[in-house]
Amino acid sequence: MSNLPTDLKYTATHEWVRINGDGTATVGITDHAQEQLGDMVFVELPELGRVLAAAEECAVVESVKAASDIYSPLAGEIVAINEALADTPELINQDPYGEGWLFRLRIDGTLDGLMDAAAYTEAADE
Amino acid sequence: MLNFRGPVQSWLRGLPGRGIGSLALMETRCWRIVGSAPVLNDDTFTTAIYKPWFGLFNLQAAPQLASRLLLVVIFLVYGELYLRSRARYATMIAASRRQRFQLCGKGVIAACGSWALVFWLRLAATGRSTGIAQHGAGFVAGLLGVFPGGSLRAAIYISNWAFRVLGKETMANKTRLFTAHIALGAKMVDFGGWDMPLHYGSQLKEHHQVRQDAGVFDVSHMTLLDIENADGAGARDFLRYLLANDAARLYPGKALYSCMLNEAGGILDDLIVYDRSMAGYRLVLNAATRAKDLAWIRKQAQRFPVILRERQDLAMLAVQGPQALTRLDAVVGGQAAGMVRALAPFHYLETEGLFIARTGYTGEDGVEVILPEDAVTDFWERLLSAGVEPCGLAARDTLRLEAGMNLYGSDMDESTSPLVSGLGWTVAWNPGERDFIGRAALERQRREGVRQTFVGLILEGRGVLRAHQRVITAIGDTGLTTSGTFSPTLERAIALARVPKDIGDRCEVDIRGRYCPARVVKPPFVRHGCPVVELPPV
Repeated sequence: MSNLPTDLKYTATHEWVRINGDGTATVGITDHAQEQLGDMVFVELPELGRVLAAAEECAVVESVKAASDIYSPLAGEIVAINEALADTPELINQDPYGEGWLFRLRIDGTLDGLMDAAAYTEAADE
Repeated sequence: MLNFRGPVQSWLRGLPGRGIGSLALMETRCWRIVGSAPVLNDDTFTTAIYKPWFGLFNLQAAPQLASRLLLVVIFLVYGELYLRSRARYATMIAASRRQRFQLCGKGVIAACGSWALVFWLRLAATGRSTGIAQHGAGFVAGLLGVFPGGSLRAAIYISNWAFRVLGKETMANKTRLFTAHIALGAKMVDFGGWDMPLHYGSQLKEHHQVRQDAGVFDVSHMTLLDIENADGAGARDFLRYLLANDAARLYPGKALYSCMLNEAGGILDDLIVYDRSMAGYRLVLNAATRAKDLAWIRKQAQRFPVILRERQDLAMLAVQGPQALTRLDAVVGGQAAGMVRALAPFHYLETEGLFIARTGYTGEDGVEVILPEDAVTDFWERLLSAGVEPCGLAARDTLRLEAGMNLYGSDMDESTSPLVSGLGWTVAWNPGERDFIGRAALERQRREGVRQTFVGLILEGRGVLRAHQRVITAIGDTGLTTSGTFSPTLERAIALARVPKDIGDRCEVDIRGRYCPARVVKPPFVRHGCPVVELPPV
């Protein structure tokens, strides 16, 4: 399995979540996901202030190969999006857990249903 | 392995109509003969055991399949022993007076059951996803076969259909370079029943490599068919009938692109045909359409004195890019290199066991090389040493799309004619007396007026075009994209689309419910490394 930081939470749909400790969470896609999708060429991010339910479809990442929907791992309000991805979507390929983050949201609800690295590995291997 | 003489065989032979018995015997016989069955385009159980093992991908499948086969063997052997224990042989009675072994009661049930079991086992090797459908098909086939008076033909048909689906599922073909691709870290993907490299890390890098330098694609999966003269002249007449383009335009050393049509004018496949003088012609057809193509060509060839020879002994590499010929110098060397350089586009030569054609599917300069399978690994390695980078099918797709070249199965198929696929130029209408398959239908279409046309689209702004997106036009009628991608050279989304005629130079494309403005252009988008269309602002 590819690079998988243990301090992050994961979803079965290949998003990662970093709990920032200030009531917000940062979301991106896993190294495994970017590897499967290949070279990124376009990212469609949610508008600032949009309120999302958990598992709601909220963004699209497109590689040369395919478009893939991104589901919000948590309920909350979008407080920041990664503007850099508009011009350099390849950041997702280069640094999926850092520069390649997608959006930040103010958490409104629980963290139920998120997996740790071990559980994600198991789910992704299936 | 399985060769019975005894009651089981007699039973099987004595079954209703004898059909079931002989079919079951055929099954067991096929299991023994690994060699001949693939020639009949029907893989056998034993090759099914061999392939997963050889492919290194699935070490579990081989023993699983093998043990299933052994189970059947054990079952049959025990059955045989049990029956023989009760058998009475009277060797003194004259042959004509021997009592016929009558089937009844338990015998019929056991024989039919064992035959159904054979079907089930054959189908059980199918892999999980299509398992249910195939078990179902096996069950129906079993019923049809066992039921007295049931249609044996239907049983065979269903069985073979299920097995073919199975073949696609679990027995991907591999080119001679398979292990070389794996060693280079290729991400492999199924393409038309073949395990092919999708990319070796980055499809964008491979794309630019071909536009700026040189790349090599393993295209050994493509179908190679030699059409030889049986009487000195039949092949030319045959191709003039078979193809929409006119083989009379060929001369020795020349290549021609053509569609092969059905009677309704739909495209069965697109291909390149090479004129090999007295030796006949060589056709390069798509891999995914192989079985359909070969069956069609065989059927049409019946009236012509030609010999069809599929060349599975040959491999094929496409060496493409502005530096392709320079780098090829180092590989072919000497006199041959000069001859290759002197080749005009769409011409080829044969030298030192190599068939080198100045053709390709990227819009760049370069060659396609057909050579014996035994020589391909060495040739491939020498290309890599000469600085040619390996490229996968993903880059091949973005390159061909930029070059405005159609992909069979996406941009055209049996339901579309060349006239609505941007391939009207490949149909040779003259001479008018040449009768080719599909001509009448195409002429009717032309007479009635072709209402659709095939265009290129460039998206204005950001996003990516894909196949099957709706094209909204100013004149009301809508069209549909047939392939789309992000063009690495243009850094814009591009697509090929079938749209109503005369829509002007603007349209909108429905991308997930958003109507995005796009420009209508005439393909190609890129030629020899440079954009040949005007680019809208991002």
